Amino acid sequence: MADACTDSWQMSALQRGVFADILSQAITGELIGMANYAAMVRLYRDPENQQDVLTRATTELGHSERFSQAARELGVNPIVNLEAPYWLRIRTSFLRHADANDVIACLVIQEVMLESFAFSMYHAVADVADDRLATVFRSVGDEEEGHGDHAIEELRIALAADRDGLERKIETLHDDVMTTLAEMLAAKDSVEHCGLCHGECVKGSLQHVGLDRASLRGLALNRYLRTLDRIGVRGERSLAWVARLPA
Amino acid sequence: MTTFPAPVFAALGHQESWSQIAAIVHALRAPTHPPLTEAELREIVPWIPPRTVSRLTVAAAPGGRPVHGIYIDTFITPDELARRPTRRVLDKVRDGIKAAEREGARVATLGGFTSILLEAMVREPEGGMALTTGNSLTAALIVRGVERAAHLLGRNLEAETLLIIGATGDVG
Repeated sequence: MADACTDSWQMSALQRGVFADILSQAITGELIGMANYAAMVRLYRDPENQQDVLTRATTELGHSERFSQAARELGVNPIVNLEAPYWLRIRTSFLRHADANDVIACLVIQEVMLESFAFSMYHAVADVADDRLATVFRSVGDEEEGHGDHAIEELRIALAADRDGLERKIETLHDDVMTTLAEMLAAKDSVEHCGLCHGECVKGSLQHVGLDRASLRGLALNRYLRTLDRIGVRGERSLAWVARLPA
Repeated sequence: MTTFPAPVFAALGHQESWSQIAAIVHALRAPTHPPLTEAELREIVPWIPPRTVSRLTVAAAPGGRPVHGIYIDTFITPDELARRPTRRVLDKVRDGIKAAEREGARVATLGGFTSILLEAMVREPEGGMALTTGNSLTAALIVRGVERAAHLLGRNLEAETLLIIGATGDVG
């Protein structure tokens, strides 16, 4: 990745358009995160955990507002679309597990899969964006990283109690949710239009701001596998899962 | 519930060619999925962190006590092998050692290009796991071979002059 856009005043219209589409993804993703955490309140019986997920929902809302503010300062209008095909697919999967009162599945989707995607994308964008935009992406990325530790610990405990059971569950979730996330950054889309780009798919224009699709996807994959390692999932199993992801 | 014995040793390595990598990925990929092209593999494989790829049990002799181990692939790519060692490559070796530690291995052998970490005298990572490149064992076997040859020929090694070819190499 090269050619960072370190000064927003010198940014071309094309570069602004790329950042507008990236911000569309970020804002929509944060609002999906907010809705996911809010849906988890009913999964907990104790007020402490209820308050915790509610706080996280508020944090995600705060992230989306910071991205919206950054878009205003950049002079672009991001598209916010909670019905965007990929995000709708992820949200539908999440709700299915929330409706089944499956806290572990919800944690895996939100804290392992979506967090890996967000953390890696935000930091990659922060590395090439101008100072103001970089600060927003980097600080939100750092906050995403911070609140995942508690969930990782919960998943480690679940793995210690039933290794095979949890690994099977993560595998099923991987085939569903991670496949969708991988498609979002794959060379070929499985949907006609992602519902968030202003015109043609932004994946073909990322190089104008010093990013590239393959690196973004690779960074997310790397982060995801490292998180699975932290939980204690066997390396040979997670390797087999990622080998099945769409190219 | 599946249980697997804690490994005593870990062998770290990498693949020499993209065709070897393709063979591994295709073996793992479901038959219903189309095979990945080399270009697609080049997009994905460099980002895979070092991890256990297989578990193995070996014995020094038939009927001997089985010893459990793991093979950790560092996913150092053939392209990275062709270049001078970079920080990224050294980090992959270090991450491979950390993966061995996570598994509970007591000793790790750095095979192929991964031995660069010890040969370059780069500071070893923190932790109590023993590291070997296999060079010490090779040198010890050579010494044993020379001793045995001298014994078979009825010659006293202390009275002999020894020529070592390749003495300045890492095994020498």
